[in-house]
Amino acid sequence: MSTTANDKIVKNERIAGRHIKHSPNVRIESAVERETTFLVKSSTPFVSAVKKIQRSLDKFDKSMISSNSRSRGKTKYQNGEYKKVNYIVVKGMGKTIEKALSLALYFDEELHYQVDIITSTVKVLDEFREQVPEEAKQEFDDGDEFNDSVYRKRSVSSIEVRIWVKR
Amino acid sequence: MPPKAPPNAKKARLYNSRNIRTHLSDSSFVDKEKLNVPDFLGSREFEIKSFELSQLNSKYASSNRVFQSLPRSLRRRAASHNVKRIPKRLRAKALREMKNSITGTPPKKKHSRGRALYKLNMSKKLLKLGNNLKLLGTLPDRELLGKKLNIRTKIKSLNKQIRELKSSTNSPLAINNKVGAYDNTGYGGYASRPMGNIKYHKRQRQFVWLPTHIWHAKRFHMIKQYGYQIPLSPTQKCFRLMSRQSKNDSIAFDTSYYSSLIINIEDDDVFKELLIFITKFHVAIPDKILKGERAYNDWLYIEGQQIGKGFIFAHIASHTIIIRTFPSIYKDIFNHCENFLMCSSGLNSIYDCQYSLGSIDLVGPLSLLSLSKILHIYDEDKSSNIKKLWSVLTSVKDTKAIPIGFNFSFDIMDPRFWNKSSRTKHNNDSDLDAYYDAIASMNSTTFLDPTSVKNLSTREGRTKSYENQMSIKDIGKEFGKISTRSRSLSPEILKHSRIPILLSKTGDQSWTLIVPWFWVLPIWQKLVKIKHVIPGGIKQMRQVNYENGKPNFPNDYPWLRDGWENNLSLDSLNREKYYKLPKHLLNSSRPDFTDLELISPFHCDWNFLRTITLLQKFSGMSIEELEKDNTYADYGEDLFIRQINSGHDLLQLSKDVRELHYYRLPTDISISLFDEELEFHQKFITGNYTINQARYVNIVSLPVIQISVKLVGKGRLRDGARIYLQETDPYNYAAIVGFITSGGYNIQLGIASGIGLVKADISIKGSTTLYIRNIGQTSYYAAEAIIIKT
Repeated sequence: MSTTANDKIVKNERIAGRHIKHSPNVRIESAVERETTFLVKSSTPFVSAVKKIQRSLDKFDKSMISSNSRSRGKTKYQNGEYKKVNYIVVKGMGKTIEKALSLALYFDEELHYQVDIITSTVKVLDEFREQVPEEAKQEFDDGDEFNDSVYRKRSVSSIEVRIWVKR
Repeated sequence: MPPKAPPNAKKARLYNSRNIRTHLSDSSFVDKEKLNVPDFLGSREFEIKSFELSQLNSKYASSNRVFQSLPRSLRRRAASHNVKRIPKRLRAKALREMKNSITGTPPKKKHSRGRALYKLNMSKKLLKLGNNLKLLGTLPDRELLGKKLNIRTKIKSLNKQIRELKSSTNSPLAINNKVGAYDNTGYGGYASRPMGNIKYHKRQRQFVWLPTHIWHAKRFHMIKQYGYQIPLSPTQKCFRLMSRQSKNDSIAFDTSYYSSLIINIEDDDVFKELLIFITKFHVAIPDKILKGERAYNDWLYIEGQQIGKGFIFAHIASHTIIIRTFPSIYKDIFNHCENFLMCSSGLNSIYDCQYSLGSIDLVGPLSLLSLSKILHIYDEDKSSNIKKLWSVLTSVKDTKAIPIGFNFSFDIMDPRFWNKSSRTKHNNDSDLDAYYDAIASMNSTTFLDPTSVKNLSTREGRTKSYENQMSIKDIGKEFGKISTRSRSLSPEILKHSRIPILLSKTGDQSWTLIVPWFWVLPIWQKLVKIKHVIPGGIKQMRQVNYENGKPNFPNDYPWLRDGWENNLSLDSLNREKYYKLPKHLLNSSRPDFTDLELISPFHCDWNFLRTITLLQKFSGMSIEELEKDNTYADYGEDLFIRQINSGHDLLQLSKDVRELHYYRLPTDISISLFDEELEFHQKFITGNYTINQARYVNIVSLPVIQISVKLVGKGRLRDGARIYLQETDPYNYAAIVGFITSGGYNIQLGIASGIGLVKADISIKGSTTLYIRNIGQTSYYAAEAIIIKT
């Protein structure tokens, strides 16, 4: 588990218990935001990320509509709310920052998109669920769902890559 | 040449759709250099407008009727001849379209005459009398409804009842509202079935209508099951929609058919004892459950036997336990608890609340957010704990961090008093921090309003909530008094009704809302209007469970009584369907089931699996030995028991043995879930058990484990598919190790997946590869299996 400098509590003491990580991705998004945001996970393969992002970029590319038979007739992404979309957002935090940056550079240098990179910090919530000692286990059968938990906030570096769509 | 005149109106419309009229004068190039844009546009205005019009024309050119331009969700069955099924704004046009081309008027329905007319008039009168009774604050005599009387006698006695009520000046009021809401709780026995409206009473005598029945009956296929009419599935296609909805938004189910009972126990020790008696806990109940902070949502036990999953909310401070179960196991639980209370000391009571508490289930990430748009907390104290938490929790998309089993309890106002659903206001900056703090605070603080818990769980409290419940008409009148811009009725009216609710998190992204029975409909009506919410039926519930790899009750639990019966009925239904199809409709790809007597191709034949497994053990031969060539049948001393010398003998004997014990009922369950504490089960997984006589195989139940499977590559999976350890000859039935109870294509995963059961001696560690073959097919699919912890 990596710790950061500005979270002193975690650094100094070790909390026993099962560590449950909660997603910081809880903001309510609109349907457009949902379609134009790509979150990089540590398990995301680089090439599949490239393909997925490329696909959503192509949706907004007018020149692709006529040439690409698959997106023919899809004028949905040229109208309405989608008209206001300027860039696709690729987000990564913690150990996926490197991957997100590689993606940014790939789209910048290889595919010649305009790319912005913005750094920030995200607060995440850690839950440590108390473990039941072996001898007391019979009492509560299995599972630790009713045990007390300790919660800690932690800051994680994050990066936001904006890949501008070609219109 | 001028265009040809269209022969008829329809053709004219079609021709119109192909033409775009243009306006030719162009004077915007004033100096022949500059383009005067406003002028240019002004001169093109006609063109632009007619262009837009032509788009509309072409859109509706092929449509004949006005409702064809409605979105699918607003279309209703039989709208072509019933204008009442079309939104009001389109009715005039619809009427015009319905006009008969000869007379110019819609065809008139034939006027009923004689007996039919008399019957119609009488039933109308019945409706009026029922309403009169409601206005007088009472309900029709229950005895009257129970009897088989003709309408005339019914009307007579109703009239008598009304006359008596009017003459007596101070008769006690049975109901405290005009809409007929009353609390139907059973004390010292089961509650009587709800009466419903007097005219529609007869059709809900056998199968009770849910509070939202009429709403659902217009939009859903309904099924009659467990003594209720339950919504099965929307009439519209919705498979992909529901999948997306459960992933991104929310699906709502009216689950009022789940039955609840309430127990009051004064003595705290007895209180705990009862909970230990029926839950999975053996020694002590966690404090959080006792205090009501968390609900128990797991197996219920009767004498150590799992009988089904249920929801328990316990609140030791108010001595109350609410148990909510699937309707088919409800009576078992009720009787069990009743017996327990009779034998225990101290003051206690049990109430049957199957018709006095209703519930709504929601699944999906935006469930809580959607609920927050209609549940307005009734609370004078603006800074209360619950209100603060409620506003924070409903400001986020994903409520996964909230612990499962978490309970809210508070009072709400009538949701119909708000014009539009509205979100609670939040300041976005501190969202994440406040949210984390709220999650941390859930660990130690309760968010239960004790008076609300009491009101929900007592008869008086629920009755009080119905006091002067407003009808839709009343509310419409109130809305007429205020300006059309205001979001809600005036603050004095908002305090008109106070509804106690209990909201509990039952799964990763699922919530259950428990409310008094007659408040389900008002809440439901507002809930389904929210953008993120789509209503579903039990089919959708099964779909959501399946896509998340969760077993669904009852079909994925064949070792329980309900699951077993479900499996048996599948057999008879599929069998009937197979033989019913007329010969000319048969297609060549349909499998020809020849070994019907050996193993049923119509369901998961657990009986066969049990018999073949135990007989093989009885023979003491390995699978390789059984692959020997067939010989003539060889009977030993026992004339009925064939000696097992080959695989063929084994199969034949399995058939014989099952027939031998004809006195065994088909409802006797031949499998049981693996339990490591049972001696036979322990021996079974190691293989150190013996079967002394072939007849015994009908008495022993086969231990099984539940697994979830995912195909490795492409392939199809069907219900009832057979599970093998390796690819074998499809006719080698002895190699079957289990069945898939629900299988299909999982669009969340993008691959076929399923849930099934295998014999407990199959070792599944981590993920194991098994082979699956669909019934009537020869190809095997490799699948990864993991054990489901039940």
